[in-house]
Amino acid sequence: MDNTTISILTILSSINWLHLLLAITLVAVGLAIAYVVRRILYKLLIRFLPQQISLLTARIVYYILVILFIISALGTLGIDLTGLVIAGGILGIILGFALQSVTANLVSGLFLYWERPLKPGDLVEIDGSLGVVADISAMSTKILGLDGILIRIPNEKVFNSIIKNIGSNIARRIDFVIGIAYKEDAEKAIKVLYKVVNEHPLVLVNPEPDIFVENLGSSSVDIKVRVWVPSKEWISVKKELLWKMKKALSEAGIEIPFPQHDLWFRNDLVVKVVK
Amino acid sequence: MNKGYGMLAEGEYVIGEYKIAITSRDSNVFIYTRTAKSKMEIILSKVVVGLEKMLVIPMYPVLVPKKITNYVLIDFEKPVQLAPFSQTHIIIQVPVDIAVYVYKKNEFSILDVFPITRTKYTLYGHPNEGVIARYSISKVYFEEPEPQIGYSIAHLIIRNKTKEWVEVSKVLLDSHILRLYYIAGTWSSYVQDIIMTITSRSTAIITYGDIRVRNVVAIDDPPDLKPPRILPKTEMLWGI
Repeated sequence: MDNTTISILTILSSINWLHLLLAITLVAVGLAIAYVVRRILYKLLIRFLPQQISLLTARIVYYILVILFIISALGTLGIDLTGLVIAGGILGIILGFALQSVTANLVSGLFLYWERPLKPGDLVEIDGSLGVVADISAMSTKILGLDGILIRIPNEKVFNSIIKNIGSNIARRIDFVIGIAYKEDAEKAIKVLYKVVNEHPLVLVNPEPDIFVENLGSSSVDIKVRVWVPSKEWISVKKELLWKMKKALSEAGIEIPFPQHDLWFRNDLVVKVVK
Repeated sequence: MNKGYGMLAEGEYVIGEYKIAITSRDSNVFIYTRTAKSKMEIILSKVVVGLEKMLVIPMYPVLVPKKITNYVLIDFEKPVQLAPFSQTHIIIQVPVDIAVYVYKKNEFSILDVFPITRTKYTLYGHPNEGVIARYSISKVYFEEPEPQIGYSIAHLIIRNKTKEWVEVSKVLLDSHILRLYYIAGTWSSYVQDIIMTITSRSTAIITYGDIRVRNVVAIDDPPDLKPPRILPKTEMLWGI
């Protein structure tokens, strides 16, 4: 026998075959368990979450299980894992810092799916951005602005922002303030305005429109017009109604005044005329 | 003035507040124009090629100015008081719009839909859980009223299944389940029998029966308003 054969036989004789078999079995069983857990978890999550997030979560759980089983198998073989644990801990801290925002966005995305404050197709205002929700992915929410620009907002910001979901209810109220001159008859103006809003097909019969004098302003008597409309149509109704109300008031001879200021002088005003 | 629902040929027709003109360029090409009768301004003009026939028919009143709902809420001019476990049969008018269909064999397309009565919508229920519905007010009849353009006749059977007196002032209908029929050459239009089963002082279930009038023609339902295959009923959960 040559030296190589002897050394191979020495190594083989030093191996604890039972432990090796146990480790291999542990890895094989672990892989099978992780695979089954991934499948079951995916099927459970897909009921509540979108496919992308369900798949990602199931994969993360799968890899964590696989790593845990491999570590356990190595432990069975008698390999000292202290160094590996320390290295893993340091790596975890580094990754934790590096992926802080990624993790925050991912977790926020999960909570957004859970709470469902918005869904694709909703007209929303988030952090001052008004638009229709185009997509909610694992990391970000995309809004198609009313000017056609696609806005990407990280999920963490969406989660921490005040979300105005304009289209979540089927009906919403829109308010107008219309100022008329002090010399005008406010009751007549209110009748004119009632006629305009009642003629509009998308101003709802119930809840009834509400029109009243709200404020005696510095330049005008302010009339508040409150109407309920289908949420999906509020922009078009708002655009149409304001101009129709203005036209109707003008046709009825009711003046909408410019802002005006009366100036009082403490002393008599002396006008010097230079010829 | 057009004499009623049914075929439209080349010529001019007055329907409600509108004037319809159908002119032909040749045997295959037609021009359809709808104008406002009073202002003579063109509201719609379309070129139609290859049609075999053109029909004017009643239409579910949920498509103009645009489809935002499939529900129709009808308020009764006078509410109906029902004793415990009693039943009544009344007749109401359901608003209908007018549609112009063009056909080539059995394939059809909606050329135009316009309202005859004033179009208004309402909220039935609450803003966060109710429904938007086309709104109309109807008298309560005990005999069929004269046919009127813009309205269909509905026989409404109200059954009070509760132990107390109830007051019924409205009915909610679903255009998906409602079926419209007409008698050609007249402005007579019908829907199938409607059965309103009152389950409490503020709730009811609406089911839809059969048409009781003979010699009527059913309209071809638009693709958006095909009836559901399961649970053909409407629930009134926010007041009756």
